[in-house]
Amino acid sequence: MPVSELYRRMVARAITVWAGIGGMSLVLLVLATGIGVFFRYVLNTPINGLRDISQLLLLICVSGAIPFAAQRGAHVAVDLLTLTRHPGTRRTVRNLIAASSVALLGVVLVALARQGSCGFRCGHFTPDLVIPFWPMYLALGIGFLLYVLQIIARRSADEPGSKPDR
Amino acid sequence: MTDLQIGIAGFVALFVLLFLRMPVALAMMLVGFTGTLVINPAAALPVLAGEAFNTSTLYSMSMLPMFVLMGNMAGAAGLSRDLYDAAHAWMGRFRGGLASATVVGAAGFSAMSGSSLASAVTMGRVALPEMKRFRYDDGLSTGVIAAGGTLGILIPPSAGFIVYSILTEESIGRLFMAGVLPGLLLTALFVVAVTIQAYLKPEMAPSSDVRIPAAEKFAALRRGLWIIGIILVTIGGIYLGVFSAIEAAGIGTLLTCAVAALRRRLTVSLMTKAVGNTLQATGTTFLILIGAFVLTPFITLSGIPDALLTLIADSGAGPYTVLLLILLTLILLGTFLEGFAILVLTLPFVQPMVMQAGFDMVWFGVLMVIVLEMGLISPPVGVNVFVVKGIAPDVPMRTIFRGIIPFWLAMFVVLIVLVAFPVLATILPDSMFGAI
Repeated sequence: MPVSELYRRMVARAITVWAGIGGMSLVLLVLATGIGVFFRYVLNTPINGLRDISQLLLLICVSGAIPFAAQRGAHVAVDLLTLTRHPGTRRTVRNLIAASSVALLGVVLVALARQGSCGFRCGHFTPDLVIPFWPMYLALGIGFLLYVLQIIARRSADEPGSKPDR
Repeated sequence: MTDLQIGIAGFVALFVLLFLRMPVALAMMLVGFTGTLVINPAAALPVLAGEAFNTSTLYSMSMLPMFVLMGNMAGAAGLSRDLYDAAHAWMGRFRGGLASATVVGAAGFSAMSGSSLASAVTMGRVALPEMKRFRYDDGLSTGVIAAGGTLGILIPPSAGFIVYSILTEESIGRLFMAGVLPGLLLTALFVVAVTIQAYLKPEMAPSSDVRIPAAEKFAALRRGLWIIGIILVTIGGIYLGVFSAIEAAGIGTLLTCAVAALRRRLTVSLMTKAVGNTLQATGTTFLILIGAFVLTPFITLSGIPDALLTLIADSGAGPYTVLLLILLTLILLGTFLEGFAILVLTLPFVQPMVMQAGFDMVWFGVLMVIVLEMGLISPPVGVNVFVVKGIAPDVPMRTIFRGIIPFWLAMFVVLIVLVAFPVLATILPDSMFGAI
């Protein structure tokens, strides 16, 4: 199996696993909201810190969802490039855009790492349960990293002579 | 180079990137980050990380994936079919009845799903085969599905209103309630559009001679009552102040799962499919929001909104001229930009202008969402049209766009009515929360 094919499969697997975790977070978010309503209205005992938990679950869900949407080709783009009939021009432009996207997301990863590492001294923790933010920054970083890997995988699949992954 | 010139250059770059097919979210992030880096270098990295993190942990946004999941669950479990069957049983005999039933079914489903795409896909799969069976005109049948689906972002819960409320900091409860009457009005006008076409050209919608016994009609209605019950609990709960919108999203999703389980339709594969589709919509929406929140500080720093306000004040244009110009621009943008992209790209400019003109931002939110609906079915990039094309691959795009025209005009009529009578949008939120 060619290295690029192996790479694409590994990225696809990683995104699926991370999306699975994101999906479970979504289900837990629904359950947490339901439980919160039950305790608040039926038992008249609001649960302290449920909002912190919900925010954490939402972040994991979003982190899983971003590369998953990229894998399904769902991120919104204006498709006017198809007006250009020359395949070479289209490929060059797509490579340029992919390179810019990867560079930008690389900067996002650096920014997340810098901000996330600041920790307690910057007041980076949830208000009720005092959960530190750095694991959340890490989780979000994983989502963006997988998005970068997916962009590279998609470009490698579009190179002449390679087998498309979708 | 002044800050304003940097801002304008940023916008030119943004449109170049968009036309080169960079994802809208990344294009906004790239321009926002680079622009901030040029104007205020120290703020660039913290803005990028801070906005990505804050958007992903925004508690009020948690209702979006939950409402989308609720709609996807209802669609995947076939509960939307019950709604269509009920509407079909009661309206199917009338001229154009199947198309009208599709509109009513789509409106009902929209009250469970915040996504117009989900509404179009779900209703398309259910209603299109029926309309084909009764030899409905391809243009009418595909047009009604594409247009009916757009009700998803007007009738609450609406993803459009959720994003609008996040960007403008307006109350989501007010916005949801503001969408109810215009949504019902638009549903009624869609039915009128179907009926007029069916009477003018009877061959477009051959009448069905099949008489459905009264017992069967009531049985269909009973099956549809499950969904109607969920809608009443969630939307009614918000209106009566029993639930917050976030709580309503959680409860609505749990109720939908419970109904699907009771009807023995809740399976692991169904859950996986519904969660997968929800994750896809969540990823798309959140990334666009992150992009918008990174772009907004750059827009503010560049001083473009202030310059626009000064320009309007100097031109002496009245509030309604400003409103007309804004709406026409949005309609024009809708022909080539995706709805959420328009929302996040234009709101930072439009909001100060609308507020300065003294208009109610909740009312304007309804107008804006209707314009986005029009964009969903406008050529050349009407997303709902492509969805319908996917369900009906044998129908040419030209035919679908032809079928859409009467419904697009109906939306335009609602827009005019709302501009003339803002009370249609404000009466429910005012009765619930009190007038502002």
